[in-house]
Amino acid sequence: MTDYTHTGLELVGRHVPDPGAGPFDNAQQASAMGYDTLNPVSGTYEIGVVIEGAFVPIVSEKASLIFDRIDSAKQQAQDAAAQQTAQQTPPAATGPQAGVQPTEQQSVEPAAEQSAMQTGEQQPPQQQG
Amino acid sequence: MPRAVVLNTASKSSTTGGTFADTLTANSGDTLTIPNLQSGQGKIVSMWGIDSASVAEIALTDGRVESVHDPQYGVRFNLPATAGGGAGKNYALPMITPPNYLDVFTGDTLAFTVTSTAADAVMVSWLTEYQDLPGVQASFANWQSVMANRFTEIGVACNAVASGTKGAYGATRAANADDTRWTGGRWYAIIGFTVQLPVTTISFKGPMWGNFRFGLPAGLVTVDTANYFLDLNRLYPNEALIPVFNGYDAGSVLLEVADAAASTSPKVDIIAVECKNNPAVG
Repeated sequence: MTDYTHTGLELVGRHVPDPGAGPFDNAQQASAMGYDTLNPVSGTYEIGVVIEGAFVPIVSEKASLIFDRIDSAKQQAQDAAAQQTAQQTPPAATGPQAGVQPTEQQSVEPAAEQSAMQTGEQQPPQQQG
Repeated sequence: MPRAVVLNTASKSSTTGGTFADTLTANSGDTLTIPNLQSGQGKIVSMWGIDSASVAEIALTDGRVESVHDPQYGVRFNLPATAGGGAGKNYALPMITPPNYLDVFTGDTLAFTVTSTAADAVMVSWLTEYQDLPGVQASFANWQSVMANRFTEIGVACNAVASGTKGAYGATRAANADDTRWTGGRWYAIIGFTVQLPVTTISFKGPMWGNFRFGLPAGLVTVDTANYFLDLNRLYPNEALIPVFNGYDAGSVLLEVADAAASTSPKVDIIAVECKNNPAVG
C-alpha cells in the first residue's frame, strides 16, 4: 500500500516570458532592449504539476526551443496531410491529351493503333531469306 | 610582440541533416581564416559548441597536417546534446579544453562540417591565442599582476541578449548600458561573470583588445564562469589571459550573446577586480 498524499496530479505547461522582452511596437523599442526582432520568444517554458492549487515545476526549458518544436510538429503535420491528400487524388492528366475524356481516349487509341499498323510503323522487321 | 586572444564563432541556424552534410559559416564579424602572424603560428586554447536539439558530431579540418591530423575528418568532436536532462539543455559543451590546444598557422582556413538532425541549430566558438598579431596590443593581465594591484571587487549587470536567429550574435550592449558604476581612471580586470540562463557564447569586444572579440561559454557544463578567465590563466600559467580595461572606456566594452536558442536573455553580471594601476602585462 503506497502512502501517496496526492494522486492523479494534473500535468500542465506555461510560458514564462522574460520581463520587458516585448512584444514591441517598433524596432527602436526592441533595439533599446537588445532584441533584433519585434516579438521575441523569450524566457522559459515550465512543465509541472498542480498540487492543491500550487504549480510545482518539474522541468524548465528555454521557451524558444519549445516553440520551435511546436512549430516543427505543426509543419510536419501539415506536410503529412498534404502528402496524404496528394496520394488520394488521381494524378491530373498531362501531355497532348490533357483534358480529353477517358471515353474519347478509348475510342481514339484503337484507331491510332490501327493506323500505325496500316503504315507498318509498329511491324517487326521481316527476316530476309 | 603584440599578442591577442580572439574569439570566433561559426554556426548554422537550420541544418539540412545527414552525415557531415552541413558546413558551418563564420558569424558576422568573425572569420574561419587564420590571419597573418609574425611568428606564423597561433593556438586554439579553448573550443566549445552545441546542437540545439539533438546529438551531433563535428569534424574540424584546416588542410595542414601540422595542425590537424588529416584533411578528411581532422579532429572529430561528439556533442552529447541530450546528456544534460534533455535535448538542447546543455547550451555549450567542451570540445578543446586547457591545457590542451590546437596549433594554427598563417593563411589556414578552418572548416567545420557537421553530422546533425535536420532543422537543428549548430554553433561552435573558439578562443585563439596569437603571440604576435600585427596591429594589436591587447590588454590582458595575469593573476599575479591583478593581485598586486587589487583594490576592490565589483559585479556589474549587462543585459545583452541573443539574436532572433539561432547561432548569430545579438545586438551589442555596452558594459555600462544597464549599470554605470564603473569608475573612470580605475582599471578593471574581468575574471568572469555569472548568468541567469545558460547560453552558448558571450563575447566581449573593445578597442583595448584590438576590437577583436574574446569571450567564453556559459552552457550547462561550463556554467561555472565566475572565475573563467582566472581559471584559464591558471591552466596556462605563463600566459596573460585576464582581460583589462579602464573605467573611462566602459562604454566601449561591448557584450554580445550568441546562443543555439533564439532571443535568449542570460542577464550577465560581469565579475571584475578593480585595480589602482594597470595590471596588464606583455
